[in-house]
Amino acid sequence: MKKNVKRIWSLLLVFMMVLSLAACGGGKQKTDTTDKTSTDTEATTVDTTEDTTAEETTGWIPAKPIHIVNQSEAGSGTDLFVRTLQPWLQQELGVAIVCDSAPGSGGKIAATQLWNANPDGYALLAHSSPLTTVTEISKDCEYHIPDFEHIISFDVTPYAVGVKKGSDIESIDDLIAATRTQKVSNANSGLGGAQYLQSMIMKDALGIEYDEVPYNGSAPCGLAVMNGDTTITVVAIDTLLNNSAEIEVLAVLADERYEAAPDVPTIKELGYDFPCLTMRRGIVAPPGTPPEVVDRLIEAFAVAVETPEFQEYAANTKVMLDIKLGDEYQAINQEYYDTVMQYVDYLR
Amino acid sequence: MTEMFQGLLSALAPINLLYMFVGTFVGIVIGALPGLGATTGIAVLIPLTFGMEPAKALLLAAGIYQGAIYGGSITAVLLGIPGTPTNTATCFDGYPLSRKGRGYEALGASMTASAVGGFFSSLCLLLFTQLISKLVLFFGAPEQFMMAMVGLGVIAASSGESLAKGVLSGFFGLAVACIGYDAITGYDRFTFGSVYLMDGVEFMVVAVGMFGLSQAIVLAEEARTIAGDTKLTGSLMDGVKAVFKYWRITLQSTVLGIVLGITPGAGGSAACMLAYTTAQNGAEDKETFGTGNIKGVIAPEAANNATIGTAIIPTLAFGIPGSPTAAVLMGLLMIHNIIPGPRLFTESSGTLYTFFWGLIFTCFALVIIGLPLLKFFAKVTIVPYQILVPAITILCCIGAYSSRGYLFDVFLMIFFAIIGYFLKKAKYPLVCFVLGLILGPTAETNLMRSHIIYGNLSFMYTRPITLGLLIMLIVVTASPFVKKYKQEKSK
Amino acid sequence: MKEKKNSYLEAIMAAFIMFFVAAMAIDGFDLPMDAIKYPIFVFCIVAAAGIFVIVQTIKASKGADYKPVQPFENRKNFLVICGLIIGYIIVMYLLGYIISSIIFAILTAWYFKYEHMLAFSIGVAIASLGIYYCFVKLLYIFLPTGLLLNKLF
Repeated sequence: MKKNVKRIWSLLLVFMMVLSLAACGGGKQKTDTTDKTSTDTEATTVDTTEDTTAEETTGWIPAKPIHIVNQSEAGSGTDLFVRTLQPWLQQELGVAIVCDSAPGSGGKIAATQLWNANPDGYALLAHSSPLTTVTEISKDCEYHIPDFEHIISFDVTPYAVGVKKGSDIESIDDLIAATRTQKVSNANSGLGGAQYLQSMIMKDALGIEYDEVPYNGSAPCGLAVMNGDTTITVVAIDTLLNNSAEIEVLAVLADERYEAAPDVPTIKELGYDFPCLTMRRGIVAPPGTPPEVVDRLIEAFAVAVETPEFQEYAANTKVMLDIKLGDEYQAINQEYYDTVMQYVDYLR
Repeated sequence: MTEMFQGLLSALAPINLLYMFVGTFVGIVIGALPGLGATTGIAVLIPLTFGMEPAKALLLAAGIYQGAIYGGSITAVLLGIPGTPTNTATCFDGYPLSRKGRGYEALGASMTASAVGGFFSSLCLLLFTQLISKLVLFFGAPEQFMMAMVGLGVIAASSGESLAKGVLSGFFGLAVACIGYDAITGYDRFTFGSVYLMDGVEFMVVAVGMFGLSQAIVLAEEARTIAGDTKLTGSLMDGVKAVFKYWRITLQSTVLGIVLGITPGAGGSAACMLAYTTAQNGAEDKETFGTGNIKGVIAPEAANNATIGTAIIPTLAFGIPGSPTAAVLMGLLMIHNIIPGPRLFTESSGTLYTFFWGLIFTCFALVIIGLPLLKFFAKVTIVPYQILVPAITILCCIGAYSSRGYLFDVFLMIFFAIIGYFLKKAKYPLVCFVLGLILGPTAETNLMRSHIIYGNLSFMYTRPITLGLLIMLIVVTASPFVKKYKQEKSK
Repeated sequence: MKEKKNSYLEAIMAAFIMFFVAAMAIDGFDLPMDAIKYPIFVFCIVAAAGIFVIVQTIKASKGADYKPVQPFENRKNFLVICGLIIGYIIVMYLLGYIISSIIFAILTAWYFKYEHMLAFSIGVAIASLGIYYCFVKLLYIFLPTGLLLNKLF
């Protein structure tokens, strides 16, 4: 019988050792960071207790961790934005920032979850417009993007048309001609998504037809063009620029040239004029979140995006920053909604 | 060449070795806890590495990646719970070995197989990145479809005595895989109106339930410790030696893992299953697979660590992650200004080579850390079931809950646990079910895509690689029938 | 020696699988043809294989050297443990992770006649709190907090 007692204790010991070592493993990394970082990172080890350090600013003081729920999975563009900002947000707000993902269904799952969440400032949605708006309209969702409380929008990323380098199609005119003589296919990042809608708008305006081949997300679209699966892809331009050795960008679908790709002509310069959606990634809060909470969050994010590390990250990944806060962002999303509604027929 | 050498020197610096070891250790622990895996580990790591030199951050990540894919095998062998989806196949023979009291041997074998597989894969990464990255471009939608079909064709060969049961099991897996949002048509299919099923059934939930919880129920029913009446026999070194004794299996599984790591969409879970079934079909003692054949531990463990090095290749070359873990790893790289793509080798080669060497050295770290730890862990198999059953149940529930944070997943896990319990008793090959569940979506999506692109099914025979795979498919599916026919003839 | 009754477990499981798949098909009835071409193919094979297995099982059970498959080694234990597990999840939903885990572990060990209940109970309490701490506070992976508790506090 003594043997059994020994066994329990040894099992418990093993269990606790494993867990405490995991804890130490995590803890060790945190202390390492504190030693080595140049920026102030005490906040990363701040535990989520009721007594947070008093903030100099007045207004809402968060008392427990804030969850930022992403509409795409870990490692995606939107997710990485949030993770890059996390340490400075933590420092600003004094509580832990937790990055969650609720991917799927074109953002419907995450947006619906946050639409119904408690408007207390502890759960935020990280999403990309107009994707969630397009999903909202095409899938009869219960949420309405313009009614969320808007915090901040980070970037403005237009869509562009990409082909494999060395392809016969070297311009938009070539593309138009090709659709009449051969089977042309377009890799889109998801049926019923914003990039898909842009492709439909373009087809309509140019009077051409090609097949739509859906993929999960933007990155596989770039690969589809590179390995010859599809002829073209209409996708966010940063995906195309990050693979510039294998992909040629025929035109950027915007009113102005993209700063990180100054040689790429706009579709308007080439003589074709149709509405161009641009992708904006940003953070919103559930409707009904109190104004002082929203203001404090806006302040914190505004500070976090000014840090050199974030700016450098954006530059390295060919993303153009265009920070819009609060009401400005809300106006943009409202505009997106109105624009997309004009094309609702493509989506139903 | 000189950068490679510089990278080596840098990786050998004591402080960097320390980072590797810490990363590997943390990775093993994270991997062992079901529900946490390399993906979560690296994702949590990202914000902690701000301000760290990129090389050190990457060495930590390398350790976590390698350690986590290995760590899941510990619970797979000892408790029958796959710690990560890539350790599913390890449960099939690893857990029966523990039940026979041979836990030490199984643990030793899985550790060594993981180290060997990871080593060769990381070596490929170090030496052949540029070359292999060009190969990635040969695998379009038709090739991926056909590869998934070959994997499914293996169902026929792995059915054991009853082909019908194998097919039923496999197609049940295919059917369950159809639940959820279909990317090709944009519809939510077979979700029974539940918002929780909109994204499909999460594989970890099924695996933890079918293999982990169902075995806990068996333990309670049989009222025995895992090792049962047998004492703990054998030693870690027996397992280590087995990896070299059966070097053909180790080599074959490593190659399989390396190849599957490169192809986007396959990944560690498919690799471990296919390595397992390939080893089973090629062995003379194939009937003993599933009852505790050490080869059934070596094959999947070598394969899953062998996917690590090569899954990083498309991530680095094109910014297209070869697996969800690679996606998060890519995020880590980008945050530290290592941008995947053509500029990578010209701009950041120093740090990159340190990272590659780090991946190689972490394989050794696996063994160095593993030896003392495993001796301790194996004692779990002689702990009384009254403690173990609740402990395993709690672990499984945490594992099911933590993937998405829904209690629904926990109920789903219990559902599959009970189904798995009865299916196993009725001698249905669960291997086939898992194959269907993992490979079904890839097969269907790529079939549909190819069909849209070509407008017909000509892609199956007009492309060289696809044609070759089609022939392989026919051979693999026909082989059990051919064998049977030959047997009948010789009687 | 007791004559072992025929359980037809293989056939029952085949029927279960077919039933499950049929439920899926009924749920997906209103989906357009395009979306379910492939699933219908899969369901048909399931139906065919299922019928085959059922027929095979019945035929084999009439054979001389048929060994019937036993679903349970010990039916009582099986039902008890399943009941405990399902109860555990329900309590977890209501009262949260820590309390439900402690109750579940103690009840299970007590039912299966474990001798050192006091030491075990203390150990379980420590382990549950330890797990909660590690997962929630350190790794920020949140465990269920319980509906009733949330309503009360």
